[in-house]
Amino acid sequence: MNVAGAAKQHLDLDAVGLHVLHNALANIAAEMAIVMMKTSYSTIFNEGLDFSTMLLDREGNLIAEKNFAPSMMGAVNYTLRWTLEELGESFFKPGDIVVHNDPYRGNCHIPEHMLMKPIFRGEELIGFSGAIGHLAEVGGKAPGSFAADATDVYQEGLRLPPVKLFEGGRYNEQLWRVILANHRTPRNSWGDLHAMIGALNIGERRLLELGERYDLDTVIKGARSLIAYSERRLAAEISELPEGSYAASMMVEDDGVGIEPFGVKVKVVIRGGRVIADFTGSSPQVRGPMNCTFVVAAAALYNAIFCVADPQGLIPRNAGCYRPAQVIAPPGSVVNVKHPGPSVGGNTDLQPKLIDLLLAAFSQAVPERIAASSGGSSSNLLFGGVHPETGRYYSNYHFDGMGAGGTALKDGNDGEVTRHSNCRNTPVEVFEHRYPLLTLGYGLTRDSGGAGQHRGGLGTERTFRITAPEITFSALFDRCKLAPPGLFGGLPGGRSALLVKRAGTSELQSFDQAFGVRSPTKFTNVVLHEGDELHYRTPGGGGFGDPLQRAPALVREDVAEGYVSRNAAQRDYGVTIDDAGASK
Amino acid sequence: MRQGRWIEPVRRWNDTTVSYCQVCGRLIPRRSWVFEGGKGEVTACSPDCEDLYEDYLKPTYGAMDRNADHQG
Amino acid sequence: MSVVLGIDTGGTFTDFVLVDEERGAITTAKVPSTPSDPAAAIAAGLARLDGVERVDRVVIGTTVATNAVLERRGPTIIYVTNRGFEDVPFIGRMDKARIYDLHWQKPKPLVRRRHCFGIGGRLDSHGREIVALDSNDLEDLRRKAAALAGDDVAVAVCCLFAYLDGRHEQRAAEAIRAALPEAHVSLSHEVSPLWREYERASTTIADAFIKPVVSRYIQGVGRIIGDRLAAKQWNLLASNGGYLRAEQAERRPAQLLISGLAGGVIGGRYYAELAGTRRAFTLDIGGTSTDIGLILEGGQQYATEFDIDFGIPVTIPCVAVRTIGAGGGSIAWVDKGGLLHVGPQSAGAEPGPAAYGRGGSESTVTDANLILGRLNPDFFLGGAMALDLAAARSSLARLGEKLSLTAEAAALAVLRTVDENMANAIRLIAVERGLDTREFALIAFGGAGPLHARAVAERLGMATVIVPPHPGLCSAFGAAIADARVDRVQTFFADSTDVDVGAIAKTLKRLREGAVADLRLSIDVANPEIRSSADMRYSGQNYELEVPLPEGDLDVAAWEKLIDGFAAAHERQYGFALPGEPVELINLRVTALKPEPARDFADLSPGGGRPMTRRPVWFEAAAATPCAIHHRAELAAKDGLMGPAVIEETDSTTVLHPGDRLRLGKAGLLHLTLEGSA
Repeated sequence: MNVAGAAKQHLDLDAVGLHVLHNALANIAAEMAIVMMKTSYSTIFNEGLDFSTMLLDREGNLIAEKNFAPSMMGAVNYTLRWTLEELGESFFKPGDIVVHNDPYRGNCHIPEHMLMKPIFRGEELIGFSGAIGHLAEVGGKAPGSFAADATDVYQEGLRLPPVKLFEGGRYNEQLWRVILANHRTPRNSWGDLHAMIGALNIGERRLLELGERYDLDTVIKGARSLIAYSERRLAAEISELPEGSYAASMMVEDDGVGIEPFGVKVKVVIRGGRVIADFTGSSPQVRGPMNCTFVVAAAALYNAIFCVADPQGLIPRNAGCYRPAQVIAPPGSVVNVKHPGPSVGGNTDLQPKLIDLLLAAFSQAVPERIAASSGGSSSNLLFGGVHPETGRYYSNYHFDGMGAGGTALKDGNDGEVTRHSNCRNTPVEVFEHRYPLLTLGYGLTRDSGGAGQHRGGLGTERTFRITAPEITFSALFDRCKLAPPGLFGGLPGGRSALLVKRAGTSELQSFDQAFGVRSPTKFTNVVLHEGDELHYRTPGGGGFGDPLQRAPALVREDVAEGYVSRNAAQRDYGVTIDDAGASK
Repeated sequence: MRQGRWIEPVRRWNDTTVSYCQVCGRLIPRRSWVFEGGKGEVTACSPDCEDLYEDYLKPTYGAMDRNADHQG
Repeated sequence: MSVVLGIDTGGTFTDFVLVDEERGAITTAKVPSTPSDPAAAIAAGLARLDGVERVDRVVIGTTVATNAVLERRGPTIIYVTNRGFEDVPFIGRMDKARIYDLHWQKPKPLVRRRHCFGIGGRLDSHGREIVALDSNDLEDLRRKAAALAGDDVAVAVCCLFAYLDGRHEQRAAEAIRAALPEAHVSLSHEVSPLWREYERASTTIADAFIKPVVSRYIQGVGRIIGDRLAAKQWNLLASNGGYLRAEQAERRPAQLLISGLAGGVIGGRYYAELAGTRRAFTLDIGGTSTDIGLILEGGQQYATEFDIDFGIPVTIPCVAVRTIGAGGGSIAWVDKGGLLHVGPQSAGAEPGPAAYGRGGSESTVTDANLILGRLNPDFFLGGAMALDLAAARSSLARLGEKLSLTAEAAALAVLRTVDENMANAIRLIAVERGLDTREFALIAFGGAGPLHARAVAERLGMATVIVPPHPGLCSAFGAAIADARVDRVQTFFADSTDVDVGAIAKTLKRLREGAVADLRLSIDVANPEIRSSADMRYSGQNYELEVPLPEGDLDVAAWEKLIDGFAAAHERQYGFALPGEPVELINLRVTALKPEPARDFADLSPGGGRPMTRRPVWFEAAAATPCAIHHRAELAAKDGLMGPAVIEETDSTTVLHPGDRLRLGKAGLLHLTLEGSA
């Protein structure tokens, strides 16, 4: 076939040419993401979009990404570089695909799997395609691999240091057999890993095609220039922030094993176009799975910096965007877990709070750019069993949105996904088709938005009734005891709750009351029966600014719209509203 | 002026332990950058962390005691 | 043989194309739109058009419905749903449009929370009633609705699993009508019987919300048409690219939500066929946006969901169109790091590009095209509007200073950037469907499509660009040649491990009969063409593939053939199939249509040519190239030509780069073959 444009095009690496190249590279990452989304089996990929795809250079530096999950950006920045350093470039041969989910070597938590494929021009290594995603089931003590009371990594699932899924283009069958033998739903793992592999192959092909179009050396050189450009550009944005040292701290209610609270602390130092986030003084690592890995703490910092310095995403996202950020995270602390500490909930439930903590520190420098705390919990629910209608085994990882914090400019959004992700919810009609639970209600929780000049967003509430003889439940909720704080005089957002009503009773009980689990919101493998009801609320967002400064007309509107009760209007905002809706 | 040096410990493939930078907390995948911190040697992930130590950590917290974790 | 009039009510202009099938000729007109009273522009256009008295069918495409939603102009909506689920429109899918923007405002639905009323009653996922809807609930609903009597009210009802059984929704509607007999009521199981409650609710609410503006539009236009034309009925172009009698369209206004976009793709499909190409992308570039359509195996493609805006999804059968915010008015700007961006901000028509001389000072894509010699300052819109070359040049000189470039180099940079953005949008559509853009032609229209098409095609490795006659009127032409068409989609869930083929067959039969009955309300047709298909996937997957259903009743043998058809489609699309794995049926689709006969036009080129001239055109920053400037009407006398060249006509301008070849095709189509292609 005679293909138009097959002749090499000249690409000047000037400001325009670099932008054209960046678009082309980002487009390849987007194409990889589409392949992964359309062919995967697990809803966590195809509905939840809990994955990211990328291209990296020969040294493992990120060139371009399609980022659905900001929480993975720390791993994206470090995993391949550390693998290259540990095993050497010669480890990667043409046709290899390497998998890696080791939390102590650069990954987020056990379910997150990073796949890397080296790309060669002849004998010469020129770069990598990569994909990272949350596999729905990777073994461990609880179905769904989300053990909220795990005390070490071995209870969380199968750990893989960098090892080869493919060697020289052929299946490394021995490894596949180990993986499939250790996952509860191997058919899903097979499908999802192949969706990722399909993405890597497309990325490899498209990068080489781009090299045919513009000349590969020009592409490689341009990618390097783009990284330098992004670093300069983000440093310039950071230079506009007031220099100084800004400290913040926060308490977290429990870790799933111990029921005492623990603290996280940060000092943000802005100077010379760089940001240091020093977590020294944070609690030693906890026994339960609320610990973060180093790369998750790093992802929280990148997230906060982007919120402050480039919210519109104008700077090409590549390794240069991460260079002005420096994390100090003491090993063996809750922000840098050491072997064999567990970490599955650190990613989903400590990370959003670290972002809020960092934003609270930044708020001392640039209050006008900041939001108060979001709900800060992913509200993870895991359940599984045999479906009474089909007789087939199912398992599901479910999460819900929460209230976002009020900002300097506006009220927080209601029922929004956590800050570290951008997953979507599962429609009730899809959910009830797949799982034997009836949804009795799904709505916003009145008065859960923290009062403030700009109100926090409302959390959500949901009620399920079990319609199967039995279902095994696990949960990892947070913000049940300690509410999301407000900022600059704003009040805290509403707390979360997770309650059960046993069949034949009318009393709502907490899970520690009903089942004797240690933490009321973090537990594993509780069995519920037909007719039992699960009631839960997700946290609301913190308020921003003094509630007494909120215009009474807005308070009246909030009451008329049912976001705020008349009592709360009186108590928090000092606005009395009579039966006719008029305020005094 | 950086004073440190690279040290590459011999580690067998069947050794599963990992070590971390005493300055920033990052993984040290293979070789480490070792320098004198005032109260003994500090093991770091890179020369950049010697700078970070001299410019930030030492002025903030004092010299690191090699026998203690630095977070105090 | 008939005489058909196609009209397109756009945001800036209202376009008219009169197709005389007997004579194989068309007549055109273009008048400014009158947004406050869209019928006025239609009256003005009809007055200007020769031969309207002979018209026997009128089809109008319009953006009035879309704009009402975007501008949020509409009645108070009462939203009725299951008690406990009143917040579904407010929660949405919980995702964010911008990940790191703390100040991003989640869009509010078109309904207020105080007007969301819950009722009892509940169906399960099989459509079985597990909680009855009792009369106290309905009485309570009636009372709440009655409290709003006197307001401008419309009602949307969306209950869980109503796509399986609409009786609860109907009873709610009766209660509302008892209180508000005048109010329009939209029921989700009629508007969009598809699963996913949030998207169905959003569609039903939009349907109710646009009802008044659509009714006013239909009444206003109906009066004009009744006065001026002898045609017995007139029609609106629906989002599915087919036309419906105006009264039928009014019944379900949501069908009109992307009416304005569908016409362009239908027109583009016709010209692709005329050019002998079965695989093409259509590129419609206007002042503020660019619409991209896809032609595969000679037909336009369909979708079930369109986002009017982030947060307002509508699930209606529609022609697949992707819109990006880039057009002639898009503003070029340089960020703090020195990178050039174009759009998404647009100068619009007011103040417009710097060259319009209406106070705009920022460089736009139109300004860049002007100073590079691609646009003629004295022949914009056929000379109806003079362009200010000096103003355009000084705006680009200012932009150039920021980039250390000359004005011309900055203008070339602006074009490269916007061309790349458009190519990327097309590339993504290709990727999603597993297509290779190099195998496609580009059909370029809209005022600015032919200006950019060649550069966009090059980036996609396409060899051919087709420019239809009257590129600025393609949407109106599409309306004129559209078929009468009704689409029905219904969620019907089945699993290959436990399937009741009889139940599927029954639903399919009902859908087919309903579609045919609806079609007959718009047009007299004895034996309409009926197409059916099924959306299927492997159990566990989340994206379905559409598989054609055999004609006639569905039986077990046909079902098994369908499963095989799905496996084959999966193999084609993704490169593998999973024999023996459970397969799910998700939706059934039926289309009933009366296909219009193929038409042949001798020549659609505009008359009245001007002689060839010359002017310098910049293709590279170093120097301008002396370039032949042709008027399209005088091309007929030529044997084809080589680039560089510029071809001007009243409503558009086509650019050939050095080495491109041009020949004239059927009916005056321009066939452009890119330099370096066979």
